[in-house]
Amino acid sequence: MGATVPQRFLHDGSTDSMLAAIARAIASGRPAAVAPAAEGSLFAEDGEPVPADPAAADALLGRIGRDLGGDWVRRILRLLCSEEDGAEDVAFRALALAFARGAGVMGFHANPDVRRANAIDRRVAGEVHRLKGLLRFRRLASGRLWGPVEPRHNVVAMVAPHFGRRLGAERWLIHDAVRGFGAAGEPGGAVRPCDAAAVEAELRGGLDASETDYQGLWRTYFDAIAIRTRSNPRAQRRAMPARYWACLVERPGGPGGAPRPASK
Amino acid sequence: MLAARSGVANPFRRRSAGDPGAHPAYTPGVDVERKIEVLAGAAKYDVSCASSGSRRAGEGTGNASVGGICHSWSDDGRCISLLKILFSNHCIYDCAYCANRASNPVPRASFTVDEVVRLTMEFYRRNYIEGLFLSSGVVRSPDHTMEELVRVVERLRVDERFHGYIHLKAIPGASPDLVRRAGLAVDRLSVNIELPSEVSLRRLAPEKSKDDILRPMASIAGGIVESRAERRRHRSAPAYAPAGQSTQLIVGASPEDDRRILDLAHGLYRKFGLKRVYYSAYVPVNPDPLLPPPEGPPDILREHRLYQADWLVRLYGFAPAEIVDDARPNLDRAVDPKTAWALRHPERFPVEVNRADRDTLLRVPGIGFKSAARILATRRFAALRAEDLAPLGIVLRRAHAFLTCGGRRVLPPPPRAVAVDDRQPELFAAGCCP
Ligand code: SF4
Repeated sequence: MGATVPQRFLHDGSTDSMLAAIARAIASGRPAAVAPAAEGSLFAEDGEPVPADPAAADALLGRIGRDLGGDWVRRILRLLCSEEDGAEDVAFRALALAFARGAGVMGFHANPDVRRANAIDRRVAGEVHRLKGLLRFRRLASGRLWGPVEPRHNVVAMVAPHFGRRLGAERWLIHDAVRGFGAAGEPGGAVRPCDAAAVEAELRGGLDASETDYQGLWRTYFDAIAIRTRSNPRAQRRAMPARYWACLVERPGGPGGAPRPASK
Repeated sequence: MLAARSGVANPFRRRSAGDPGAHPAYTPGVDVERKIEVLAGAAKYDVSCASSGSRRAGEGTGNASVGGICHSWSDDGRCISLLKILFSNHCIYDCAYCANRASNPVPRASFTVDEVVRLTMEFYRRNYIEGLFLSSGVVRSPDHTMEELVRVVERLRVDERFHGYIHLKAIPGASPDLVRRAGLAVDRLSVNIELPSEVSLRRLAPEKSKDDILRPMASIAGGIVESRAERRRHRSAPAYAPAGQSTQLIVGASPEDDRRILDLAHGLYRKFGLKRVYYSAYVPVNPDPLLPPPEGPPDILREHRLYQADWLVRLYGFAPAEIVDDARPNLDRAVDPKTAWALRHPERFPVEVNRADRDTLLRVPGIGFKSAARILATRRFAALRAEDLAPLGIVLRRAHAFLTCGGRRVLPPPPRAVAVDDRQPELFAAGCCP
């Protein structure tokens, strides 16, 4: 590889390491890229590993907040928790552009970096919005409402505050069944993170006896509300991609159409 | 489809028999599952399902949806955001176009107040729904029915401290006092106007007078205006139907043309400040000599064109007369109304995408609010090039003939892009659920 190859800063997958790597890439002042350390040994020698550094991460977020505003802090965090390939590099490039040209640069839709950042951001924000509707709670025997989800992006922390407001009088648990952890809410709206062991403990008592009845009533409603002569499976899938069906209670796609939820 | 029953008793069963709130028409022993089948089935043709535009918060359960959250999509592709049911499908009236009319031999059912309250709360907590959409046939009398509906919504708000969304259909002919109580408890209150003219109303819904419909409409409009004024003075004054009023029109059951329908809608928007008019293609449910013969499927294309035209008038600043007039009383079925208008006005085109202001851009077919905003934002950084247009969300297949970019003609997209376009351009997204 020639001298024009950008210098690569490698992170370990944690947000603090990603932010520290982005900070280094910006500070380097030369063509740079941010990538995961485990990407492949072929290029590893080109890269410089940047360990998780909470101080550097906080310093960068502080600078973003000061120079570009709170929207930019949230935007960068959304990009980093997208878990999409290359998202950390897109975040770095968008950020470098914003530091150079101002916070309003996301309106520069003709720029490919801006477009990529906006596209990932839209997908994450889209999933957050979608889950606010598609998440289904089940009543546990303990009285807590349990909402298993299998999101594409790491968004439970972004979904939880909505349910804190919505279910102010309830105890609930949103459970990211892909990543193993969750967020729990208590009456009054307080929300706390839950690790895998805490989730496990909550689920031990099983479902409340009335739960299957309400699920049955909802499925009856779901089937009764469809106009059979206007059946439109394509529109249904476009609005509600099949990857979300496993955690639903209803069965889209007609009787027997959806797989049974993994979690019952 | 009946869901498989578990061994666990349905919590509704115990409470339904002998419920002091039971409706006179309620048949004990008919379980909630069957009621849902009958009464959701009877409500499903009602298209108004928007659940946005109001905000409630406080102790209790729920925050009325802020961004219009869809909770599911039924097999016909429509968004489900509300528990949309009839309280009862018993009806003393005999409207020709309605499946629930008295003379129709359909299965009948009525919920109790308690059942509707319970279903709403339990579905809401499980995040199945954003709220309740409640309507009803006329049982015994308009006031008797309205009274039951008011009991449901008052119990939800007061006893259950439910802050989710409620849309209630007022019963035509109900007393102003009941309408007023309903307005204070719900987010949206509406009266279906059903048919686009008085003549058709007299012919097809002889027991309902124009006055029965317009009086509650006017009273709701008055309640909303009053409460807004009051709330400007005292923030704690009660909100009256804060998400406004809407109505629904059946299209194709009677002979009115599109111009007549759009004029009526425009009048309703202006006179009663309606939030939305919903158009519903007539679905033949009863053979009746007064109705068009049930041939072919419902005219969904006409319904779709009316929504597009309504959208242009309400949001894009078109006057109804620019879309339909004496010479063209019906919308063009072949192209959308914006394209039809642009084709009639070659003198306004092409538009230079690097110079045109927002209003001019919005009149270009294939450019909607989002793409117009992106064009303006991008122009602040650099002049647009032809290759920038598609990524900005402009639907080139429709827009290219009406645009220049840097003084040059814009080429149509390659054929592959046409296939992608079944995503539906922004304008087309103007269906029943914003
Ligand atoms: S009053 Fe309403 S429910 Fe009764 S027949 Fe007429 S349209 Fe149907």
